[in-house]
Amino acid sequence: MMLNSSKANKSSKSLMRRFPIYLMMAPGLIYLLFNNYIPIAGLAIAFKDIDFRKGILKSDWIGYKNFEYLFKTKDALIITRNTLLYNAAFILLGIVFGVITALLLNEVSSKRLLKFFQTTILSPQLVSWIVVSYFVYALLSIDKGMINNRILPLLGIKEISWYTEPKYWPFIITIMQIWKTIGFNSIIYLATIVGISSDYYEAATLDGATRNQQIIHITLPLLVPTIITLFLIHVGRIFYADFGLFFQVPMNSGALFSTTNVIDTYVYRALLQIGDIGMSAAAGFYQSIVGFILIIISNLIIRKFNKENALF
Amino acid sequence: MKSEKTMKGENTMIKKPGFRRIFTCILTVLMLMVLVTGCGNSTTPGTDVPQTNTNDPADTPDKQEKPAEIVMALCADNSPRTADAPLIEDAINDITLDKINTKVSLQLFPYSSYDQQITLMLSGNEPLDLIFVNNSNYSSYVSRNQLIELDDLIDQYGSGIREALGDYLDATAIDGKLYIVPTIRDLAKCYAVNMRKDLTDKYNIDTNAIKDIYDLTPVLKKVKEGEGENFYPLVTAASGRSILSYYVTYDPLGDAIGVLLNDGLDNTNVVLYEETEEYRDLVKLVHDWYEAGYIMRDITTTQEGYSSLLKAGKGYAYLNGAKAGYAEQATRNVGAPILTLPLTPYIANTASVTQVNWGISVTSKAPDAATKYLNLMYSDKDLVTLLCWGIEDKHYKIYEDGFAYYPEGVDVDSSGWTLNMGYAMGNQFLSPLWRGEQPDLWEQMKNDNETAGRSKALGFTFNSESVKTELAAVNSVRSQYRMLIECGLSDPDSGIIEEYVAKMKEAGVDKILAEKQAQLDAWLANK
Amino acid sequence: MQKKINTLVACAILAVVSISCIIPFILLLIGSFTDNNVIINEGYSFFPSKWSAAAYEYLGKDLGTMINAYLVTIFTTAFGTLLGLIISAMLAYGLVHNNLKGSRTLNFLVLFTILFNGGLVPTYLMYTQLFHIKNTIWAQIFPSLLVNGFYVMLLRSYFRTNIPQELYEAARIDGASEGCVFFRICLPLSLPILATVGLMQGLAYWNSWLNGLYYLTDTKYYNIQNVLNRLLLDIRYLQSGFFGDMASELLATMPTDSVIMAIAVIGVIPILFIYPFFQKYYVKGITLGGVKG
Repeated sequence: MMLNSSKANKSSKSLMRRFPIYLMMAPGLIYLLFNNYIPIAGLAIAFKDIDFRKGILKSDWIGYKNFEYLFKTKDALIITRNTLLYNAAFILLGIVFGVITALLLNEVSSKRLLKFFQTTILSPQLVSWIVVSYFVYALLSIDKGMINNRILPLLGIKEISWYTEPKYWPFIITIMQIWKTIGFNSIIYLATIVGISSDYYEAATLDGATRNQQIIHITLPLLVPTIITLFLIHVGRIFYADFGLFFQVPMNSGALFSTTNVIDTYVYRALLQIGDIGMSAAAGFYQSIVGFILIIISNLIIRKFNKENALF
Repeated sequence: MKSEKTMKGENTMIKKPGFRRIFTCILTVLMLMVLVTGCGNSTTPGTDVPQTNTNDPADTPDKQEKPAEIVMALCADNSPRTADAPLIEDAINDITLDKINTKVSLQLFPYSSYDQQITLMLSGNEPLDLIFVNNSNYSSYVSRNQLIELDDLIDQYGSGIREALGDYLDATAIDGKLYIVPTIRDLAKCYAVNMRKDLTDKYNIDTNAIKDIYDLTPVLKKVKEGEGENFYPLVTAASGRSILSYYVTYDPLGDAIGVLLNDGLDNTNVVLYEETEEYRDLVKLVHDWYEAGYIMRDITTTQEGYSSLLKAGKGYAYLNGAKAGYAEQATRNVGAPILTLPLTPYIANTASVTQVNWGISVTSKAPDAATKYLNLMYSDKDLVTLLCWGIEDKHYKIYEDGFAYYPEGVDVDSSGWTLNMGYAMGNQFLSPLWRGEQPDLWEQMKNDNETAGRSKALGFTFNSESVKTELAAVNSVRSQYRMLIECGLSDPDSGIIEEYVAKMKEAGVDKILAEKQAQLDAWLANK
Repeated sequence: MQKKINTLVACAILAVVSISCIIPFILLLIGSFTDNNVIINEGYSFFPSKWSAAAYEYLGKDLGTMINAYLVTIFTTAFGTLLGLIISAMLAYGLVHNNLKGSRTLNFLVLFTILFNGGLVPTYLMYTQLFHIKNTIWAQIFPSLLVNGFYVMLLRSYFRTNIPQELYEAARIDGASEGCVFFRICLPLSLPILATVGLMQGLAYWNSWLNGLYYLTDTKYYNIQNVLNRLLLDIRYLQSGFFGDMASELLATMPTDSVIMAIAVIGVIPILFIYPFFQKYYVKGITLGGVKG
């Protein structure tokens, strides 16, 4: 049909011109359709009282009842606060430390050293949180932890019962998160930095700009789009928390809940015995909705300032 | 709505090969697109195309139509100790094909995701027949209708089950209907202190003087003073479990949120245990122990269970649920002689009876065959022995003294089937005893089961469906406070118990209690 | 001059960061060779009083499983990363074209996948009932890992900001097909981001264990993370007070601390050895891209 139409017709020509682009996008879109979109219909489970004799589709609708437990206690407030504050800190510090590390890596001229640094900085990414929790425990355990046994006595400080003192945990958790993700974040920024055209730098050098001036006036501004992309994506996940980090690393210690309990751990503990898929779907739905609203808002704000950098 | 097609999947037009072809088609189209749009000289993954066509074993058609096929879902770890599971499966089939013309597929799931796996398999209507049920998920399995009613099936095919269990079988009924079959083991249990024999002798401890938990104070004191600063006389049986969760003098009525005091022997009033004086006194006791250094300081976060702690010489005693032959079991685990002294009488309640059970999935295609197989697990000596100890002369050998033990050259780690879950394999009384057990262990256990005190609520199972919102919230509060308070870290005089109770009330514990009482009263009236 | 100072300062700071990243691994390695009773009594230490290889002997009994799991991991990582990278790059390339009909909608649709997912049960049903991937090797490759909206966004933003649009136009005027523009111009100029996304995707495959947990009941296609994580998760699960009074007895026969450390070592050390080889291409990709840009 398309081939039969007049070649002089410009719009049809451009469609033909663009058809291969759609074709190239097709596999990715088809995958996302199946992997991400079709299962969304299953969010209906969040509004159902699952009965396996009736099957999932025919189970009764129960409105918002599956959501109630999320707001049942006053803890709901603490949990929401923790989740949001931790994620805000992770986003902010992730960007700051990621960019700094990328800039530092970019200054390393020896290829061998660069390789060494990259390998080591990325290595925490390779271990699961469970394993991390074991060596955090090796450091912090009250009886046999290295900090209590070796380091604090040297400094003349009395031993600290880390796992029952909630006030230390915002720092411990943030440090662990940064430690684990710094390699990952920095390589994204490094890729952008390396991709910056050398023309800019050459021109700047001719103008007499020092290297540090170049970093501030060329590298950083050119990093902004990447930073904003990462920022927006993380904002969308702001209501999700890494279960391993908040459950395994504090060793599920009840005394620490005021600073370590987040939505994902709350849901896990609440449903461990009940095991209701409707209620867990409800939690996921709630998290997605909040993230969705937040990302729309932040994208709107960014669009206002700089249309190019907005995600959509 | 889109998912409707998806979910109806296997019973409508969708046939396996068809969809596999579509899947392959999508992939092939995708690859072709790369080839067509690409220039040809770049790195194309075209070489990968043939791989999508390789046959996967899951798709080979089943040729044997005749024998019924059932799936037995067991939870187990995947350490070398279960490496021979396929051999066990073959050996099971040698028995079952012959006796009940049934082919059994033995599937081992991780403990940590067992419930989730079952839920997924049920959602997908996948082949699944025998489900391993324990007392913490029993009620929710039933309320979601994951299990079928067994009354008629047991009447028809389960004579061996009824004979082996007697009236304990009916103790598991919900609304007069059976959904599970408890395994035969210690159906009644007591709580006991377990101590290292060498230190008990060293400090001349009079074991006869220990009658309840309060008698332990002088014992712990003596050992602590003798062994020094870095020795903790009382350790936890399993990390993540509080000291007091191993000293139970009430009928937990399922989840212990609302209990009957005095083991439910003489009353049917549902109370919140955490509000009682008894609880406060016990908390005070463990707190005193903790302050005195009898309890290890990182008890709430330790990663070690009793066996490693005692083995390493770090501890002396621990509390645990006990049964006949427990001392021998603990001795095996610790590698040094252990004494077990009961602190409470033997009691049977619904929780103790339903601790380990088997049920049949609502998606079962062959409930008859599954029941027949279950019946064999309660009546066939060969099958039970196989499940408990493995294949003769490979995993175990019956020695001249009548006890089973590893054959020469085999040990616990190299055996390939040392699951050690005899209590889950139906009627373990039919299996030979392992070396080191008391020769009359099964008789002792039988006797304990028969003579134990029985809670008035034995046979009552709480249906939590109507209060699951509250239950979820209360569970969350409990996970915050329980370990802290019940391991002795918090001073009961500081008001922490009041705080704990207040939070539970805020989460709706009163509604749970009222519902529990109402259901219990109704059940008692019907009895 | 300033460059030299910068380099020195950078190296010094990075050295500190590097060491803080490696120390835990050294601790793991030493822990795995420490006698278990020493761990319990004295705690973890860089200089344990008694060494032991018992943990590895224990794990060595199941060597066949480990090797098989490694092969599965290597295959799925290589295959999944390559396929995923190409699909993602093609999708991202399309999204760059602002003048394309529906471009804004498509961008949003891709972004939306990062925020929403249907949850485990519907996803599971679709993959098992529509595609029948249960207990096949594809279960380790397709669900959730193959194309990640996040990576597509990264690629798109790189294609958009670091490649001059005029290059595309020039090529099109010369009569090059879209495929040609993509493969001849876009990809070679994007080596840094391709290397980066490839690395991240590879890591995601290497570290993946959820797919194995959900879609495999037969352990034949378990990858190394499945084999190792299952044990750790089971131990943690039993330790969280579940499973009633059985937990203490099951735990009593479970592996000890040093075995857990050994498990972690086995899961990590090989990749630390493979990684430098892989990184050769990664660094090359990054620097090549830099020179060309």
